[in-house]
Parts: sequence; structure tokens; C-alpha cells
Amino acid sequence: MAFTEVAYKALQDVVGDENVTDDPVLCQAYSRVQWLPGGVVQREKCGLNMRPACVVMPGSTEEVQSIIKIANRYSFPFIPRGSGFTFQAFPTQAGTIVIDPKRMDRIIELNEKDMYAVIEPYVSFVGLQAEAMKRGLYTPTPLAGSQVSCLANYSWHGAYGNSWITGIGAQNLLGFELVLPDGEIVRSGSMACPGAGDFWNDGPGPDLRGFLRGGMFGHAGGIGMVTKISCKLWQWAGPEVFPTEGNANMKFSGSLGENWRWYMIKFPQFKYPEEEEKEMRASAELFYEMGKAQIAEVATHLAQQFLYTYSSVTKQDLHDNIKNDVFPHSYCVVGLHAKTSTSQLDYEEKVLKAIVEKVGAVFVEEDEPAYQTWIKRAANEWIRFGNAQRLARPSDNFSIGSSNVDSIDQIVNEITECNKVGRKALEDDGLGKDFVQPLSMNGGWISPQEYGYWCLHTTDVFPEQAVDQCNQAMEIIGRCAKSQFERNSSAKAIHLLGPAYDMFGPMVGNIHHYVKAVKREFDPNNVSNPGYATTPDVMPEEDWKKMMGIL
Amino acid sequence: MALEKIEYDATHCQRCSTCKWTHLWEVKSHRFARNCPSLVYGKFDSYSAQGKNDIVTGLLSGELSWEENKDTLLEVIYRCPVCAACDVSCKRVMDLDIIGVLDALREEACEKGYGPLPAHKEFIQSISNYDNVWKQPRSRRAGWAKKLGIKDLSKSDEKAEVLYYVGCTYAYKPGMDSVPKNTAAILKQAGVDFGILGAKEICCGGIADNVGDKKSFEEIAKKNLELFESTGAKLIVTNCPGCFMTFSEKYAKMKKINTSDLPYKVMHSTQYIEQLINEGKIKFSKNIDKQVTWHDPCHLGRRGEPYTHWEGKRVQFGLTEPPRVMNRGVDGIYEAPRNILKAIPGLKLVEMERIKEYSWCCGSGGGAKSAYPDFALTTAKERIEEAEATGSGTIVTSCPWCEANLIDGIDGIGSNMKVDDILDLVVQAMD
Amino acid sequence: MTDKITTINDFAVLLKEVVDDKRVITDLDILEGFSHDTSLCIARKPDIVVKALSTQEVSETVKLANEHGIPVTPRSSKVGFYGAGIPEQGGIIIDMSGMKKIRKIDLRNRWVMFEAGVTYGELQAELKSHGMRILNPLLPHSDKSVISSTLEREPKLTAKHHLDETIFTMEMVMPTGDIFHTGSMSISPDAPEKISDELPCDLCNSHGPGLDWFRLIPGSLGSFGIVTVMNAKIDLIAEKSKVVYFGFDSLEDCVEPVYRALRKLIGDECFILNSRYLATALAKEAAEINRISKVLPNYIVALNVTAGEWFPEDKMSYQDEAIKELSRTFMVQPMEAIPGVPEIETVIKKMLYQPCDNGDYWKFRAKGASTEVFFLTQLQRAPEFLKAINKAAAANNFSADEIGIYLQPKQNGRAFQMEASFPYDPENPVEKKQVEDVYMAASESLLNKGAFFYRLYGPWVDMVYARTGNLQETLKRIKKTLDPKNILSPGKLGF
Repeated sequence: MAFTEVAYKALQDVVGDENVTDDPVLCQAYSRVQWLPGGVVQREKCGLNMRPACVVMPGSTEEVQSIIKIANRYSFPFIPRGSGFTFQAFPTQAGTIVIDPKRMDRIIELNEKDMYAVIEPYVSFVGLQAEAMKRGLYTPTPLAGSQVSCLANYSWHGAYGNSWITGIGAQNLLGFELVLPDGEIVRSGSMACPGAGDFWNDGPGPDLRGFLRGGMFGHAGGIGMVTKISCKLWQWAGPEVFPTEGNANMKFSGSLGENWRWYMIKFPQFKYPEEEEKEMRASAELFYEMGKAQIAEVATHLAQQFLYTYSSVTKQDLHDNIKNDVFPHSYCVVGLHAKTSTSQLDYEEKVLKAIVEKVGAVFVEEDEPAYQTWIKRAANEWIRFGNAQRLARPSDNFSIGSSNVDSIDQIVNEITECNKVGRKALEDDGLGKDFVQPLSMNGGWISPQEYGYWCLHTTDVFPEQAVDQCNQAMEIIGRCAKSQFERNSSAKAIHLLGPAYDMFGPMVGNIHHYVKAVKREFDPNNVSNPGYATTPDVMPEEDWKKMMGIL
Repeated sequence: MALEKIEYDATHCQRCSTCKWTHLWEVKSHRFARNCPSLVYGKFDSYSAQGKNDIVTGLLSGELSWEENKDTLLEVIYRCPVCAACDVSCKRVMDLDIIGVLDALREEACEKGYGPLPAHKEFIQSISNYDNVWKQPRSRRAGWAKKLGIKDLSKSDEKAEVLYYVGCTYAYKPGMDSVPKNTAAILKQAGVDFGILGAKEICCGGIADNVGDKKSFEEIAKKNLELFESTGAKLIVTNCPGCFMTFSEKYAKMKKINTSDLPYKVMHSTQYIEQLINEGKIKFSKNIDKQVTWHDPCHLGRRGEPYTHWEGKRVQFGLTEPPRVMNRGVDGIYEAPRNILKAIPGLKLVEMERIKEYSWCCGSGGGAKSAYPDFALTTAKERIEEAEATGSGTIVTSCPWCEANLIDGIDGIGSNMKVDDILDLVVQAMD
Repeated sequence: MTDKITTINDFAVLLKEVVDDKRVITDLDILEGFSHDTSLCIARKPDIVVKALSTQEVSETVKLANEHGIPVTPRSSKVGFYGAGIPEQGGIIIDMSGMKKIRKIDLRNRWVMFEAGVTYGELQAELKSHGMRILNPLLPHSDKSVISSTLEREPKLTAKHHLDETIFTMEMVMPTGDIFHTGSMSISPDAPEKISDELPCDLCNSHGPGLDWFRLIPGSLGSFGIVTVMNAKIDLIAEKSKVVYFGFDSLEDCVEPVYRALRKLIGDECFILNSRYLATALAKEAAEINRISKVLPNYIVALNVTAGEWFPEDKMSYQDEAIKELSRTFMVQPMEAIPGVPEIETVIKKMLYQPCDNGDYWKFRAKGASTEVFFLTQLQRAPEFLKAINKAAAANNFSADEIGIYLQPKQNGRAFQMEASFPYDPENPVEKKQVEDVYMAASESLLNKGAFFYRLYGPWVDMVYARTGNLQETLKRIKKTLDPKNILSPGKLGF
């Protein structure tokens, strides 16, 4: 069977005529992702298969359940989504419906004492953070931008500006309510227990968060639709209302008050980019020492692409700043937050200064262009707003070139090696010659998590949207991934999504068998985002190679 | 083709959804975090700027066609006040001409003969027939000015430094003539040498441009430019933000020059009155014991920036050659009205959450109120709820369309709020 | 399927091909010893005990069990408290308590890799020589395995952020017998320490692959897989530390000050004990408990304030300042010693960092045994649950004075494990029956009021899952995919 008029009528009966549409004009807005080279290429390949057959907006968990049951009844695929930012939110085959959660946008509870919130899928970080800040709390700030869905970000994947304390999205998830691909509803954590409140995860018994997510990513909607979560909130000693001055893109955010201090740190003794590796290793020392001392709220190593994109007010400004070498190299950025007291802040500053001296770094002076541009214009983005799509500002397209999760040292290794691959690809084959430099495959974002106990990174590429440049970007990304496998790096463990399970699963404990068994069990009709979640059955090599664009 | 002009902008939308939210630093609550009236009403992403970008891409690629999809296309395109909230939010992170995309879609609709909508055609026809949008006789245009002894600059022997341009709605709409009367009284008291065009004043034509009928707009604009020149006035002051934006931005754009190169300067009445206050020509001596909140009209605020003309192309990385100065809502008229309110003794101004360049639209602009009254009403109700949340009893503004629609919004939710034009308060407080 | 086996001895013969025959035990007396633990669970004998010394042996054992449909119950501690290691359906117990290797310490990345049988005492002793320690629960039993404790989610004393989530990666044996590596260990089937020595991998990514095993395995009581090796977070031993105590008359009185202290991140470790329970921990023998208990405040909150390498005096100083402010705000006096209780000064460091001495488990000190009811709660609800506990005790004539109450904050005070301990004389059947009744009555009442029983043992399994909708069914379905023959710990979670 497939998506038919009969199925459409059934959806209308569930949500009301005004909350479902199969009009091509209305569905067109759910048919393409542009910012990733992979998305651009995919749109070229899939064409109108990426336009959903229908978009449906449930208003409750029960309506979601009914929709999913209808999808099973008539055997058509559905894709649950949040704000729809990432390419897993788009169909790849005709006859797919998209579930848009816009009507499910309540903050159901915000518990100030126990520091958690209970939210529906269309609650954005920005709204939740605004409410939290009034109560001396805040949320992690996603690099995807605070406009994205908090629930979707935590269920899928998120990296944050303050993850030195908060860790990644998965760690901020408490309980959840999930409509399984077969339409059954399950709740996890204390949310599952009547009268317990929604304050915690971990059980009862095994923690179903382990089922909802795996590795660095969730299952891309392949295991049903999450309709409610409870999530952690964190202490915030800054202002209740975020300070701003100016308007629009010339709006800057000044001091976060006496309970917050920003620092930029550099290693001027290293030539850049020739001694990029040394600079990163020295940064690693900084983070290791800070981690042992357990100081700071934000600690991160920002490559030039982050510095330029966050701080520029226009594209021209960004390129002018590059020309003027405002950020001649990477910098470490540290934020201290007085959650205990101002004395605590003074103490941490004293420690930071001592550590900076110990590792051979220096603080960037206030009158330096880098400080004026970053601290004055952009640092507070790391707390509120996130990057949104400014990483695309240089060329209106960008991609993560490589990433990994491991120790800080291994992350430095990974960035070094992957940048070598990127530079070699440029030198040998001219790949990326038209990309924005020096932002592409130079430096890396080092994001230590939880006081530096572990770490993640990205390197990035900045092609234009033209298909040939996107293909080059994909080639560079592929070569980086290949090098990770050839080096047997810990990155092998994170490349698991969709058809990549078939490709990499045999190298990673045959995990594809387990995940596919789970998929078969819970999604017997393979209707829950079949394009991205892994397939229920092991794919023949020829098929996954084709899907991966390798053939 | 209109769409080709903005093809780059539409096809490079990142689908990040920033356009759907108030400036992410300025969001002060979950309740009032959204910025796009079209999206809030229509719900499907297609109604947002991102959706419209996808629609442009679809039309250009042939995935959508006017022939097959005209009804929904027209609804998506026109059920939008073109308030530019999306444009301002997007330009925080990208450099895409979103307002250009919205305009181009309307222009395209008209070029193809599908637009504008019947309600808009009525307005344009009315301008053609009566020189105003309200199908009212020309002779009554200056009825409000009877016996006020104001110079009529349409007469060749009358000259003045300032042309006070009234606008159709203030001239004709019942109950709104207090605004031009107040303006005249203020200018007189301040000793300003001003005049009006009287019955010869014609519509600014902004509405035609707003709905994509560039041809009609140009005809009207040309007539007005001749009229202005004939008066010799170097400064035009108007109360209507729609007219203000039209004279400042749209006429310059039509002539392919910068606003600063126009043969006249145009100011909104709030700017001018602020200037008069600063010059000591207006003084406030009477207390107004009231708490109010200020509603930023879109055409005064984020769309009130002077226009910088650009002709060029996109080059590598999407840079523009020559470099383009885009309006981003930075220099809209936000402070002048606020300064006036703050200068009035006893008056307490409490801001709403969404203000200035990230203000929530009243819902009536872009031809939305005439074509989609329910949409306009819903949007206004949202604004009234936001105003009520400040604890103020009065919402103050300086736009006839905002005023009318906000009043409808008040009635719609049964609120006790009042709407004041800012000049009511000025006159009350003046010596 | 290989040769059909018809008796346990047949199977034992097969096992002896993969494990040294001295470690395949069928002696009834020994099996008797494995049939019960200190819990009130019904004794059930295994048919065979395999004392495994390596992951390979565990793997081979499970493979054989899978082949022949024999249930397997894993254990890594010599001691059990909640019935987790008692087989529900006979079969094999794999006893890993002899797997004692501490395989590697990574000081730079702050983790230690160790085998299933390593205890807190063994680990702390080894780590101490490197200036490090593993984050531990309150006074674990000397024979309690760290892996067992971690997988059972015994709450750690640290209340800061999510530092209590200590698992990095694991080597485990799947229900099929396959050896499986989690997190970044999954990149190679080699021995875990070899992976981190020889490959560009420091085993610091806990997530994945495929599913987040470090979430699914804890709390599963061995029904999803058997963990044989783990690397887990460690921390530096503080250069300076002191414990500050606050005494309160009631649990209600603790609530606001504790919320504030944890919100302000004062101290690293924190716990709340009632006088009875703290006295039990401090006393050398039962006779002292009453005396100490009478001198102690009814409820004691302990905050362990520490400082490390950098300017320790300054760090202690700002924490002191914060404590003073706490004290002023809530009009409660901080104490660095408790008058009339000199024992605390000698015992407290042990309580924070060490397990109990051999053979002396503090919870049994009063009467030789105890049973506990524990669950998670928000602190503001704890007084409500305390009332329910007292009521259940009273209904069964159990004296409230004897109940030990312990609250362990987690993650900046977002949640607290609340524990009520009911001591009894194990030789006295009347007392034993009494605590069984109190246990059941309290559990039922607490569940009805909304206490979150997150660690499920014995009767709690059915009591909780009866209330949680599709959760158990969902877990059963996951179990089906991992363990189609239902070999591992069958029945432990009701499936």
C-alpha cells in the first residue's frame, strides 16, 4: 500500500482539515535542505521525491499515535521532525509524510527548585532559556542556534557552547515520551511512573535513553516520534534579561554582569598555520589543567571559522575581517561564572591566570582587534543564541569536514590528521580550491566536555552551493572519514547512521545486526523515516554503496 | 522576470528557521518568542520566509507552476503583511534579501496576471478614479483642514518650507481626522512654516507597490514627484508610516537613487516633533498620569530606514559587486516616538517584549487586512495580548493602519485597552 | 546444536572444556552459598557456578549456555544485597569476583580500567598511589565490586554536575556469547588496554555504537549483557578537605538549605543522614549506636569542602564564606565537629572515600542484617515520603527510632536517592517477617504516592512495571532482539 487519498482522509479525521495538507505549494517548504553539501547533492538526486506527499500537524501525543498507526495501516513512511534543520528531516522517497510538531509547543512545567523543564517538540531553546533565565537557570546553547527545537536537538544530536559543564544533548535529556513506530506509546524515567513527576531519567530498570539514542546521534526519527521530554536546566547567575545594545545585526551584547567574565587566550609563540598542531597541543594542556582544577563554565578552542562567523555583522564584514587578519589564528575562549559567589569568580580567575602562565599562553589584551571583535561582539552568543546558520555566512553553504569524540589529546590528533588530508586533497587534486580560506580544513573547534573528561571536535569546509563544489566537499569529507578508518581512529565509532551502518557496522562489533534487529522489532513495516534510520535488513554491499554515492 | 532578480537569495536559504523567531537575544518569554504573523496563523512552514524561499525555488525549477498552483500561491504570497520581521531576523545571520523575495513574488504574481487580489485591485482602481484608496471624492480630502487657515501649496502663490502630507486614511477615515488636526495645531504652535496639498493631494501609491503592481505604482509616484517639486518644499512631514516609507524608500528605489539623493527630505511626524522638542519649540507642561506602551509600526521602524540603491551582482561566495548596503532594521525610527513619550510629564512608558526592529506586526500591512481580514484580526489580537501583559491600559502608536487594526483586535478579544495616536498625548501635554 | 545434554553434569562437562574444571562447580554446599544473599529474596540454587577469570571464559560459557538453552546469571561481587545475583530459573551463575585485574590507569584522561571483580578497596588503594580516587558511594561493602555497584546505579557521594555518571567504555559479553565493546572501545575487538595503548583511541567516548549501552546495561541486572571490563572516571584526591555539618530537627528543615547549598555548588560530596543511620555508620559496634544517636541532631547534612593543587587556601576560603552565608540565611550553625561525637573525626574520611572494613558492613551493625527501601525523589517531596515510611513502619509495629534514613543528592540536587533502612536480627524469624511486611507496606505506599523506584529488585519489578504502561513490554522487546533465547538473567525484570 502507499499514501493514498484514503489515508489522507484518515489523517484529516485525526487532526482536522486545517492541520493537514497535501497541497504541493505548502509541502514545498518541507522539501529541501540547502546548507549541507550533502543536502544539496541529495536534492539533485532525489528531486521531487523529497517533497512530502503530505504535511500533518498533530496537537497531542494521541494524535501522533493515530497518525503513526495510520502510516502502519497503509504502509507509508513518515518523518517526525523538530524545526526541520537537519537533512534527516526530509523525505527521500515519494509518498512520505512529514509530521510537523508546530502545534505541540507547550512548556508544560518549569521546575525551578529541581532544575528541569518538561517540554513538547516545538519548544525552542530560545523560549525555554528566556523562561529559565527569569528563574536563575539556563539551558545549554546549541551551535545549531537557539531557534531549533530543544526536544529534537536532544533526541538527535547537539553540541553546545557551555558543554564544558553541560556535556552534550543526550546528557541533558531526562525522561521522555515516545510514540514507537508501531504506534505504541512508551514513557521513560520518572515520567513513566504515575505521580512521580518528570524530574529524572535512569529507569525504572534499564534506561530507555539508551534505546532512544545511540552513539553521537539519535535514530533520526527511525524509532518513532518523541512527543515530550523533561530536560535539565543549569544554574544561571547572570542577568534575568539578556543585555543588548543596538539594533538588528548591529546589536551587541555587553556585560553579563558581575557574575560573569570572559577571556581570550592565545599562544603567540606558534606560527600559524604551520605550527597549528603545536598550538592545539598547548591548548589541550590548558584544558587538561583547567579540568583538573574544575574551574570555568565555558572552555573551548575556537578555530578561525567560528571567530569570524560569530563576530561578523555582514558577509562583507566577515570577508573584510579575513583580509585584515583580525583573527590570525585560533584562540581559546574561557568563561567564568560565579555560581557560588564573586569570591569564587576571583578565585577561578586567579587559578586561570596561573594555569595560563604554566602552559605558556597569554591573555589577549582588551585593545587587540581580536578581543574587541570577539569579546565585544560575539562571546555572549556562546551563552544565548548559538551560531544559528552563521557558519554558512562565508559562502552560504558549509559542512562539517570531520568530527570525533574522545579525549582532548585524541581530538587534537584527529584535527591534525584530518586537516592534513584536507590540505593534501587541495594540493594534489585541487579539491576545495574555490572554498573560503583560511576557514576550510584549517584549525578546528575543540569542545572539551564535562571538565575535559572527554572532548569533541569539528573541522569545517566552506564551499559554495554549486553542485560541483558540494561534490568536492563530500569528497574531502569522505577522504577524512577514510583516513579515520585507515588510522583505526576512535572516530570509527561515530560514523553510524542509515546506510553507514551497513558500511561500518562490520568494523564496529557488527553493531548493524543489533540495531537492525531493534529496527525490525519496533518498525516491522519500516515506516519510521526509512531514508535515514538504518534499514531493517542488512543491505547488500552494492545497495549501500549506491546509497552512499560510492558507486 | 521578477524572481530572477532574487534567485540567489531564495535558493541560498539555509532553512535554519531564524526567520521564524524574534531576535534570539531579545526573546523574553516563550509566549512572545515568535515573529512571523503569517506563520503563526498559517502554521505550515510555507507561510514563513523560509517557505517562500522554497516556493521561489520551486517556481524557478518548474516544480511548482502558476497554472496549477495559483490559488495556494496567491494565498501564501498575499496572506502576509510584508512586515520584514523575517528579513531582519535572517539578516542577523545571513545576507539574503528576504524582503526582496517577498516583493518579487508579488511582482511576479502581477506580471503573470494572477495578482494582485481583487481587494487590492479595488484600492488601486480607487486611486485611479479618486486619487485615494477609499473611493472618496477628491474635494473632501482636505475637509479636516476647513477653517484652519493652513497654506495650500497646490496653489502656485503659496510656498512653505515644510509640506505636511496627510495621506488618504487620515484625510478620509472617520474618527482619524484628529491626527491631521493635531499635527496642524502642533506645527502652528511651534511656529513651523508649513502647508498642505489640500484637495490636490493624491495617494502615495505605496499600496500598489506593496501588492506588486509596479506599473500602477510608478504612475502614481511620478505624479507625486511632480507635485512635490511644484511646491518647492524641501521637507515633507507625514504621519502615515506607509507614506513615509513610500516616499523615503520606494520612490528612491523606483528612481534608482539613494534616499539621500531625493529632491526632498521626508520625516515622519514623530521625528519632526522630536526635533521641535529638542529645539525648544514644543514644551510640555501638563501631566498625563498614565501608563502606556508603544507599538512600533513596521513601516516606521524596521522598514523606515533610508534606502541605498544598488545595482550589481553576486560574485564569489555570494559577496556583492559593488558592495551592497542592505537595510537590516538598524536605523529605523525607534527612538523618536519613545523620546516624545518620555518627555511627557507623568507618562510612564512600559515596553512590550517585541519592540523596535523585532516588533510584532499589527497584521494589516501589505494588503493583508483587506484581503484576509481574519488573519489581520488574529495578528492584532496577539499584539493586544502582548500589550495587556505590560499592565498598561493604553497602546500608543502613530500609524492609521495599526491604529485601526489594533482597535479591531481590542474588540476581538474584548479587551479594555485603548489605542491612542501619539499626537493625542502630545497635544494634551503641550503648553 | 551439538550433542544433546540431558543432565547438569553433561553440561558441566562441556563447560570444563572452556573453563578450568576446578572453576566449574557443582558441589551442592557451594551452590547453596550462591542461592541467597543478604536480601529477603527467596533462596534459589543455581545448577552450576562458573568462576570465570577472563572475558573469554565468560564468552565461551555464555555461548554454550545459549546453545543449550541454559539460563545464566552473572555476578561480580562476593556479596549481594538485593537478590540481583540469585538465579530466577536455575542454570549457571557466572561468578566474576575473581577477575581482579586493574588493567590500566590513564592519569592524563582521568580514568581507570578494571575488571568485574575489583572492589572499591582494591581500586582506591591502587589509585591512591597515583594521587587519584574513584568516585564512590557511601561506605560500600568491602566485597562490593565497583562494576556491580556502578551497574546497579548505587549513587555516588559527589553531587556535582554529572560527574556521578562515571562509565566511559565497557567490554561486555552479549547474550549470544559474542564479545562486544561499547563507546570508542568498539573500534577494535582487541583487549581494551591494548586499544588505548596501540591505537589512536583513549576510550573516552561513552556513547554508542548504535545504542547507548552505558544507559541500557545499568539497571538491567545482567539481562542485556555481562560487563567484564570497564573504564570509568576518576578524580584527583583533594589537597585539602574538611567536612562541614549542619544539624536539623526535621527533614523538612533540611530542604531549603540543602537546595541552596547544592545550587551554589558548595562542596563536592554531600549526604544527609538521620541520627540513627549516622550513628550506625560511626559506631564500632551495636551497643554504641544508641548513645551516639542520642547526641546527634535528628538530621545531619554533611558537605565535603575540598581544594586541589591551585591556591587551596583561597578555595577553602570562598567556600567558607559561602557556608557562612548559607548559615546566616537559614540560621543554622555549621559545625566542623559534632559535639559529643568524637568518632566522627576519625570515621568521616573513611565514609567519604573508603569502603567498609572487611567483614564489617555498617548497615548490618545494629542487628546483623537490614533491608532497605530506596527510590529517587525531589528533595521537596522527601518529607512526604518519610511520613509514608513511618506510617508503614508503625502499622507493622516497627519502631521509627530504628529506621535509618539516608538522602543522597545527585547532580546539583536535581534528584535525591532516599533510602530507609530497617535493621533486623536475621536469626529471629519474627523480626525477619516484620521487616518483610514493613518493606512491602512501605514500598506499596511509596509507589502509590509517586516515589520513583528506579533500581528494580525482587517484588519491586512487578509492582513498578504494573504502573508504567508499555515500559516493561518495550524492554521485553529490546531483550528479544538482543537475547532471543532469553538466556541472561531470565525473570529478573519480569521477562
